[in-house]
Amino acid sequence: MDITRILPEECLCLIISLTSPVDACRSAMVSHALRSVADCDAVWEKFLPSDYKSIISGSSSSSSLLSLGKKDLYFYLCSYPILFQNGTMSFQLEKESGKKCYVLGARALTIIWGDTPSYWTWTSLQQSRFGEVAELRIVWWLEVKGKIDSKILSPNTNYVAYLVFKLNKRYARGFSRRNVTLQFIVNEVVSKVWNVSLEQEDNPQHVRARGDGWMEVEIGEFFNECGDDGTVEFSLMEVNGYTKRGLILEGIELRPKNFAN
Amino acid sequence: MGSTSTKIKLRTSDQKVFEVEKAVAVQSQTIKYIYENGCPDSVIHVHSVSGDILSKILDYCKKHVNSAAGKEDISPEELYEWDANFVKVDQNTLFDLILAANCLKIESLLDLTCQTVANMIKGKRPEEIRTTFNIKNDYTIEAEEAVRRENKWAFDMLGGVGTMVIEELADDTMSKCVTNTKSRVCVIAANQIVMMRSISKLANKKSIDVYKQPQNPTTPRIKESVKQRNVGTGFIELFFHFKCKM
Repeated sequence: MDITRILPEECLCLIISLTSPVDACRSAMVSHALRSVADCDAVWEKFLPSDYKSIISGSSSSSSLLSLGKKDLYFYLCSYPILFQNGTMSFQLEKESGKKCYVLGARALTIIWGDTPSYWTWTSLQQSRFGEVAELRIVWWLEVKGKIDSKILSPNTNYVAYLVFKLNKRYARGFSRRNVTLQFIVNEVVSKVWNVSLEQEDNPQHVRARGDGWMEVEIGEFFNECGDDGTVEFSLMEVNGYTKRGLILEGIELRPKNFAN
Repeated sequence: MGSTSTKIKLRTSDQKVFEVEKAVAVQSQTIKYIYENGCPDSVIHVHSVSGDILSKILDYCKKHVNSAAGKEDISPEELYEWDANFVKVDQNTLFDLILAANCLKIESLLDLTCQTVANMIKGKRPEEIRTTFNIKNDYTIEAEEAVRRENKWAFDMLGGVGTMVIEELADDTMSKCVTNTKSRVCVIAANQIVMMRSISKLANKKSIDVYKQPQNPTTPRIKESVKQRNVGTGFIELFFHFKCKM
């Protein structure tokens, strides 16, 4: 006997909600009856993160987002980053799993000398998701720090942190064939420290183009169990006394590790 | 009142009567409500549950109550294993358990049984889900394509080998599947791999004739032809046409 004729809709919704977003979409293709189950709000509400309402309420489009059906809202959050915390941070969902991805914008980071206009300027770039990016004019002491509380991340997830940046082709100096130090700290314990060049030609394996006009380099990774690992901190440093110019910072992204890569 | 050996009587749809300890019976929120709001000595009717199913459910409730109360020396891992064995039943029994757990409002049993069905759906293509649960495809071709386009990304996720299982080789059968152009197709008929091809090798061919000599020389030779049709970015539809030749 056909399962959709035996079990009531509420049980079918529970079953589909225990699969995954991918499986729910494939189930929609099975028959009309299973499609109406697979598309229903009860299912997609389970795929959205449990605190989605409070995250959305921090954004300017919150009322229109909350009026969407839950499946539409899920895919919207996967495709369009939401800005919050005064437009300095962005939030998005990873499509396959519904896990949260965050980008700390340049304004959410601590940039040493960042407020001195002769060292760093703040500009708007079309390609940036944020209102402002930080562009390095000239500095000897390059130090950029960021942090995020692990409790806002999705539980039971392997997260990887990336520095998202560009080197201004004309003005960048001090990055070619030179290393910067990237540090990844979980709950005040240094989890990873390493030296890497930000120039893709030096380092094509680690410095990759993201496809949105920016480059990224991995800072480190950690497994977030239930969000009680305290604060996760990141830092970029190069303080060895030579001038650096032309680094443009979009921010630091934290997203689930993608095994398919 | 409140003695731990208070018993509750339950009568099933097929008129069987079960006498169970109150602590076990009230795992069901429905029974708990009826007991607390009705006459405590009377028999509670569980109309929609048969004797066999109720018996299984009471085993489950007893096991969980005893383990939580420490009456039984069982570790969480052992209980997990016990649960896994509990749901190793045929589909009809599983569905009856779901219906009963839903109606009796036993949340942990409902989650366990529904997760079991969910695991039978995970990772499967729509055709496979239909076969597993005996669901008829009631989409027209156009409607099916429209839904597939809507959910295209879920199919981009499919890689590896796409498998199509043909249960019977009747003379002149036609079967079709839709698959990602990056995958390989393995067609299994009557437990024999009849054809394995990389889709890229099928590209640019309108049809392919393959003769396969089965192991057993008395069974007929099988001729397949494969036609393909582009149905959208990255997807092709393959029609397998089987003909038995003596």
